[in-house]
Amino acid sequence: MTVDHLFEGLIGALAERGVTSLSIRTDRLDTSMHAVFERLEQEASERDLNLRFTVALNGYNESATVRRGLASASQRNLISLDNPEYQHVRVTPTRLTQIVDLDVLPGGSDLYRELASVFLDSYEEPAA
Amino acid sequence: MADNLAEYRSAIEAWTAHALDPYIERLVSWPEYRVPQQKEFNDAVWGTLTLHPLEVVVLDSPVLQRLRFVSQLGVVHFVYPTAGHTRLEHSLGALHIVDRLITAMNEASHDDAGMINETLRRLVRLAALCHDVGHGLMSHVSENALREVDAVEDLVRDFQSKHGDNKKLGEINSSLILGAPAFAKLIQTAEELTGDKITCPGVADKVRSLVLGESIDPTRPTIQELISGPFDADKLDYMTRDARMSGVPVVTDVNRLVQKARSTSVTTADLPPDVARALRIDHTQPTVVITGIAQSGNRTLDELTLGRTLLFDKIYRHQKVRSSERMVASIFRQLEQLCAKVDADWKLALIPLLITDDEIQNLDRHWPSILKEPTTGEEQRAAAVAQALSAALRNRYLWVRCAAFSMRMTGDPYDVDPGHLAGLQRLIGDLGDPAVAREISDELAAEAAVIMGELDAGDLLAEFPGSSLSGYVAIDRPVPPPSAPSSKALLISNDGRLVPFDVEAPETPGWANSYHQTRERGYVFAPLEVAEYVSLASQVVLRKKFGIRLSDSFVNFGHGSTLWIKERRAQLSATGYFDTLPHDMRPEPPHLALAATRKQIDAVAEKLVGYMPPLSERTAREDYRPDPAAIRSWVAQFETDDLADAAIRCLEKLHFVGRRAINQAVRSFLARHPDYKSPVIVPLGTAKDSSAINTYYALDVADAFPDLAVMSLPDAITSGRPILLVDDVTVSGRQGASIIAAWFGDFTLAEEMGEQREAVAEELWGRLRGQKVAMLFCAAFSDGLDLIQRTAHEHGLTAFKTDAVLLDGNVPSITDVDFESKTQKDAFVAHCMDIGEQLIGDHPKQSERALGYGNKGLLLVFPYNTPSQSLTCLWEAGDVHERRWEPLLPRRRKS
Repeated sequence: MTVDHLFEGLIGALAERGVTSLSIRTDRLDTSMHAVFERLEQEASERDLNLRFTVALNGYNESATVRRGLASASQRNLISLDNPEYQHVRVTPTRLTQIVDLDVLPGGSDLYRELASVFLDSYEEPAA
Repeated sequence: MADNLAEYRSAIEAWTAHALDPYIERLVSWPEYRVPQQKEFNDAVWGTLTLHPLEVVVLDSPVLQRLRFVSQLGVVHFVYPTAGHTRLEHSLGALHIVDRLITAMNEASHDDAGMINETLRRLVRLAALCHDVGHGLMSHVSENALREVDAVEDLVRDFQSKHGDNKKLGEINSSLILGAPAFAKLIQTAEELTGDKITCPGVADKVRSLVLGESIDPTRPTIQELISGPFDADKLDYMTRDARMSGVPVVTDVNRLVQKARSTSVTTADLPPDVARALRIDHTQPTVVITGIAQSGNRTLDELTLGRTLLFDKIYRHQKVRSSERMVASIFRQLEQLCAKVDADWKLALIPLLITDDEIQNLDRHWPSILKEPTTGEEQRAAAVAQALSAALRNRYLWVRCAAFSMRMTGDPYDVDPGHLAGLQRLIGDLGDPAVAREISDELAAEAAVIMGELDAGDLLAEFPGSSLSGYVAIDRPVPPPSAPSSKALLISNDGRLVPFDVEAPETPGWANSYHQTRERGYVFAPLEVAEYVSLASQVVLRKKFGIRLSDSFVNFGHGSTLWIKERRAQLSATGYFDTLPHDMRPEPPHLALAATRKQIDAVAEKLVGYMPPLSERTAREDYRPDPAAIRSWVAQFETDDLADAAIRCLEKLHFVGRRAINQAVRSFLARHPDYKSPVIVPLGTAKDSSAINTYYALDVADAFPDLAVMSLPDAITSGRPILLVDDVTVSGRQGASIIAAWFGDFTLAEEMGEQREAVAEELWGRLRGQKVAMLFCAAFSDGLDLIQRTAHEHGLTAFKTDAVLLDGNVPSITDVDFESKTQKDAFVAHCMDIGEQLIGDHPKQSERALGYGNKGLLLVFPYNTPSQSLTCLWEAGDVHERRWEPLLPRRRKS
């Protein structure tokens, strides 16, 4: 499984749940992706997944892998990265996300739906 | 995996010791007069550079001198001939720039507390000099090639999980070399020998941390960013040097940026919280020294991003650079089988340190001793391919582009086709896995070989080792943009406040990304002599595997001839090569290329706006609609010019019966029948019949007929008001007749047709028989209307009438088409009959339905469906003489 597979599946599963926008103004997106990666690592052997990437946070709680994954998803029209007020970037799943077939991705649709829950639990957790 | 990293560390330490031990031994034996002194160097970019004695000793060591033979830009000199600078020049430049940064900071510092002391300066200078010591042959070229080797990637990921997921093999090697005992011994020896001491413990370890971007001093938590950070010396040198040596103008004012470098002493409590957290500030420290850029110099950071964005596009991702990189990657792929030096899965990771740039370009002349002599057939082929590619590189006989792809190709005729876009998305995503990229590259090579066989190009194929193109074809994905380098820089205001640059200029990554995203493309590369065969193979493989439609203009990208490809496709078509492939892959009839034809097709597409095909697996997946591209594909299935022309003429006659037509029919009927006062519109049949939709449409006319109502049949009968039943088309009249008969309990015809019909309650029959009832069709035939009329009368409907907007000869059909000639018409009708019979298949009424049910060849379509009476080849999918036929206007069956 590559980081592109993870983002494709996760964005598809989030779009299924009606998520229309995410912000990368704070470190929430990166830390939530880190939580997703940790779950993925736990599940990898059971699901026979060969993870070809790692997510590690730097001091700013940012991950180069996450930023690359986002940029790649944008390049593949799965998300748009908008900054309409020139204030902060928003991540918006695009229409193409609706025809993503989660079942053809490594791990299958159940995995991405589970990871979407992990992501949202972390992303929506009230700030400490 | 952790063991692998430990093993790899040991191997690197051994390699470092092997390189340094004799040098150190020689150093200590030198007489005093040979002890290195301070030295000045002339640099093409920065002028005179000065090195301290200790730095001279390190520079002269074999691990640094090796960088003299590592090209800074790998293969860029194949494109920009003057870009032959090396990692050694860059390392010296980085040392020079970091020194200038520190000088600028100290000169601008208001007090001693904010200054960077001499010890730190020396550590940072040494780190700059050594930061690329781990780079291997052709720099990032070998690093990227090795990303495709699982065992090497495992090492990298293991390291990343501990030191940050932005670390690459070169940095990892640098870290391991600098952390090797031999390197610490070198520093110690140099200090003792020259007396030029950096007065702190663990110099080598600190240099290693700086190179990794890790903090070495809690009171100066950003000092490492001068080596690995938002405006580090590495970037400032390589951007300037790469641009200057390539002869490409640079937009970044590095001199001004250096001049604006600042350091300032900040009270810990005044630090922005996320900065304090990110830098892991020790709060027991009352103050810390932070490095950044003066707020007045913030535009230089934008220039840094702009400069890198332009360099990325113009130099680092130049298509010829990428093709050369793919050739090197293919050589590495062959060497996987021939690397004998170390018995470990990750052994290939050492190759870049053991072979030089020159050696990799001379494998046909000199086989390096670290590679085994090929013995098996597979090894011999791998060696032959590696040697041939090595010679090709040396002679600059570089691969060319055979196909281009991205989600945003200018002029892509399929750029609104969701199936095509979904396929591109899938392809680009899958290519993120090097194993898949290899697999697809091999499939392209295999398909090209098949095509060469079909086109009698076997002799050319035989010139490649093993008569195979494996290793000679590579698909290279578009990569995401590099992150904006400046985003995490800190701006320092005149009064010492810190402002993160990404707060001051949040739009910077956006425009940098946009520039990249709109230019970056994926390519398929192959040697020139087979490029056009690989172009054809790319169209076929990407279509079969991903549903991607690569238009001809994207498969002769830069090289190749559209005409050549068209001619070869015609030849291939004659061999039957396309028989099992989608119709639209075959050569289009030349008629479709005419400008006049394009206009005709656009007009047909315009007419069909509003058509909503039934959602089948195909139409839902592709979001199918009869747009010009779909019309072209459908017409192209007719294969010859004459039939294609006839098919377009047919489509021009196609009648789209939409909401407007239904409205007009009802208005016209009510205007002509004033006795239908306060009419009630009732759906003909049940909710599953299309009359339900037409009834809904018909209610639009209520503005002109305010008494108009829609009711169920029992309610309409009870109301006693005139009843109007509205439907789209009737040919035989059997549907309408069966419905009327069923009202009165006669299901004979319905059962014969296999239709479920509903009776009216017997107590209402009397009222119904006395009521005005009209059945209105948009299109009908007299025979059908007569049957309905007769049935109505047989069941006592005395005030029953039928009406149709288009009747008999006015209903558009294949016989009304303005064919060019009778010959064309006869040939087209016969062809449609043949296709229809194949699509209907083995059915008792096959011959009666080949041109549509009733064989009238109607040319009608409704917004929601296509009637079965319309020309069969318009709406039915299936196999026609073992080739797939796709309809233009797919139809949903009623049951």
